[in-house]
Amino acid sequence: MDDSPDWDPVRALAHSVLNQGIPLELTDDVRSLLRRTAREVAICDADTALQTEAGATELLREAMRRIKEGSWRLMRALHRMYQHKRAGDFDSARQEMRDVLAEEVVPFYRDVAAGQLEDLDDEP
Amino acid sequence: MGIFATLALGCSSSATGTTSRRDAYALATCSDTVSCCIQRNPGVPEACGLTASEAALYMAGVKTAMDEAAKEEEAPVVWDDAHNADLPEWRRECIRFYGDCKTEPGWTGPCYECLRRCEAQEEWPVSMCKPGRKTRRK
Repeated sequence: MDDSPDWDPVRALAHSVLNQGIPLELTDDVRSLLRRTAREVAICDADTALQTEAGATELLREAMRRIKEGSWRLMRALHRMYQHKRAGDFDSARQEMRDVLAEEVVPFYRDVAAGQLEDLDDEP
Repeated sequence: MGIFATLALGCSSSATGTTSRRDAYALATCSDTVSCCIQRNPGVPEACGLTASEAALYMAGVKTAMDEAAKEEEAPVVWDDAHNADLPEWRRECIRFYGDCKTEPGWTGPCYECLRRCEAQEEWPVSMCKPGRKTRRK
């Protein structure tokens, strides 16, 4: 089973609200989406933010920032990890994933990094 | 304590096939729809609405870095993308990630679609294309 988060709906919402300037309407569906996304990016206390449109918009902005920054952090670290592995430097490869884990808060990205680190247990 | 409890990744461990860096590079850097189609359907020009001679003529006029990529394959340690120097750094990174997706074992997801999304949204969609696990431990 693949438990990767589906961030397409929240991306679409962010595009309309943050890029196109369309006001956020706090419908039940939007609240539900933002509540779920908040969990997925480790934002606590989403209910307080969801009491106002301004708060919800800030939550949306912060969620998108975490999704995007986490992606770049992880992908860059993976790319460097592969380079270290090809060079036979497994300590440096492990350190790339440890650095991600030291900084990353999004559980999905952390899981990917932790899995790669665990796989490196089999290497010298 | 509102932090979402993490679940173990359940991604499948099987790779969908390993492609050479040269092929991955060619697909990542084809310059337009027709050249991409020709490179994705080698030897089948009709798949792109062309005859064989039309496809040959077309590709003769398309600058790809296939030769350079072939040289890279002989020295696989470094992903040399100096030929992309005219691209913004973030786009070069998208292409590097595509190369990882296509060539490193265990990746799952549609790498080419993820490259296009990376280029469109300036972010690799990790939830679509991600490295799998070599081993699964309990």
